[in-house]
Amino acid sequence: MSDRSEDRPTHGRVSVGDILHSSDELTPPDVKASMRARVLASVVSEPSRTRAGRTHVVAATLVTVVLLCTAGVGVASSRSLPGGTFYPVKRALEQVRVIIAPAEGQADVYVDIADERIREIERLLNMGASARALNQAADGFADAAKGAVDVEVDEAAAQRRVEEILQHVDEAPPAVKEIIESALSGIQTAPSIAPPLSPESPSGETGGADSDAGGPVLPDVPVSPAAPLFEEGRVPGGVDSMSSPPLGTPEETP
Amino acid sequence: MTAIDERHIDRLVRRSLRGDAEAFGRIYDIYVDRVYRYARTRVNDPHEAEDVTETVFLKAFEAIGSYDRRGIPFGAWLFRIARNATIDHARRSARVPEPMDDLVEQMGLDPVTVEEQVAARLDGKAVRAAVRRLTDEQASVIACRFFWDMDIRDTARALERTEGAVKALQHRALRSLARVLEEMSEHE
Repeated sequence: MSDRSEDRPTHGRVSVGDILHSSDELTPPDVKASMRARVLASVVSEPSRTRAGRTHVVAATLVTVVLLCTAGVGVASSRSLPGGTFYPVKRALEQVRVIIAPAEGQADVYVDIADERIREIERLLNMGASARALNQAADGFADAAKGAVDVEVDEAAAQRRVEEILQHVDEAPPAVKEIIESALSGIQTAPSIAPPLSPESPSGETGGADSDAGGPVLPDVPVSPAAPLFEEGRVPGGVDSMSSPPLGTPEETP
Repeated sequence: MTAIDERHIDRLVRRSLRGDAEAFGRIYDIYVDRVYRYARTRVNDPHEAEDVTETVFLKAFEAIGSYDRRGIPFGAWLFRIARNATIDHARRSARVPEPMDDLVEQMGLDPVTVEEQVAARLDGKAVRAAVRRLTDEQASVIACRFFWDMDIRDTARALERTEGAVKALQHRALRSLARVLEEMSEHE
C-alpha cells in the first residue's frame, strides 16, 4: 500500500486516509440477503443472457447445420454469395461462430465476418450482380463492423477495432470502398466509424425493383464484366490482408 | 473488507457465463458491500442506495457476456457500472448537495472537541457525508482507493483516466475531506 503515501493531508494527528479506511460500512444483513435473492431470481429467469442460454438456442441450429454439412452444403455455402441458394446457411454458420466464440475472441470473429462481406462485394461487382445483392452484403458488413466494436468493453479497445476495420476497408478496391462507406454512414454508431460520404456520391436509387431492401442507397457503380477489377477468386493483397493482427492486451486507458 | 483474489473472480465470471447462477451470487457476495458503500456516498437516502446497488448487479449480469478479462480487472469494470448507475440516479432525482449547516446538525457532534476526539468519533455516516461533498470524480477516486482497495493502476482503468490524474484527484479529494472535517469541528 506504499502508493497511499499521498494521503498526507491530515485531520489533527489522524490521517484522512486512515479515517476513510477504518470507517467501514457494511450493507445491512437483511438488505443484503433480500437483494441477493432478487438479483439471483433475475439471473435464473434470464438464461438467454448467458452463454449457457444462448448455447441451448444454438444447439438446434447446430443440428440442422451438421445435417446440411453432411450433405456437403456447409462446404458449398462457404463460397456462396447474396442471392445464392446456400447463402442463408453461410450466414447462419457465421452466427454460430460468434455465439460459441469465447468473450475475448468475439470481436475477431466479427472482423472476419466483415472481411468476408468485403470479399463478397468484390465478387458481386465482378459478376455485375444486382443492387439488392450488393445492399445485402453491404448491410452485413455494417452489422459485423458494429458487432466488433460493440463487444469491446472499453472505449480504447473499441477505437482500435474501428481503426482496424477502417484499415481493411481502405485496402479494398475503390468501387468496393464506396459501397462500404455508404453502408457505414447509415449505421448509428460512434462518429468515428461513419466517415463522411465523398461529395461525388450520387444519392439516387439504383433501380426500383431492387432497392426495396431498406438498406443504404448504392451509388451507380460502373460494372464491366469484360474487365474485372481483379482475377476472379483472388483478393487484392492476398489472404494475409484479411487476417486480423494479433491483439495486445490494452495496458492503459487514455 | 477482505482482499480480492482476481483469479477466483475470473473463475466465478467464467462459471457465471456458463449459466451458473450461484457463481454470480458469489460475485455479489464479494462486491456488494463495496458497491453499497460507494452508492451511499453518492445517494443520500439508504433505500435509494439499495435500489442503485441492486441495479448495479443486474446491469453487471446483463453485460457480463461482453466482459473481457484481458481488458480491465473485474472490480474496475464493475465500478464503472456502479458509477454510471449513481450518475443516472442523480440525473433522475436532480439531487442538490446538502448545505453545510444541515450537515453539521445531522452529525450531532459533541461541541467539546479536540482533534483526536473528533477523529475518533467519526463513523461511517460522518465519513459518507463528507465524501458526498466531493465532486463525482474525487468521490470515485476515494471509493476505488479506500473503499474498494484498488491500486492506482486499476483505479485509472476504472475511471478511464491516467494514473497521474488519479493521483492528483486523490490528493485534492483528501485535502477537501480534511477541510470539510475541520469545518465540521469548527461548528461545534
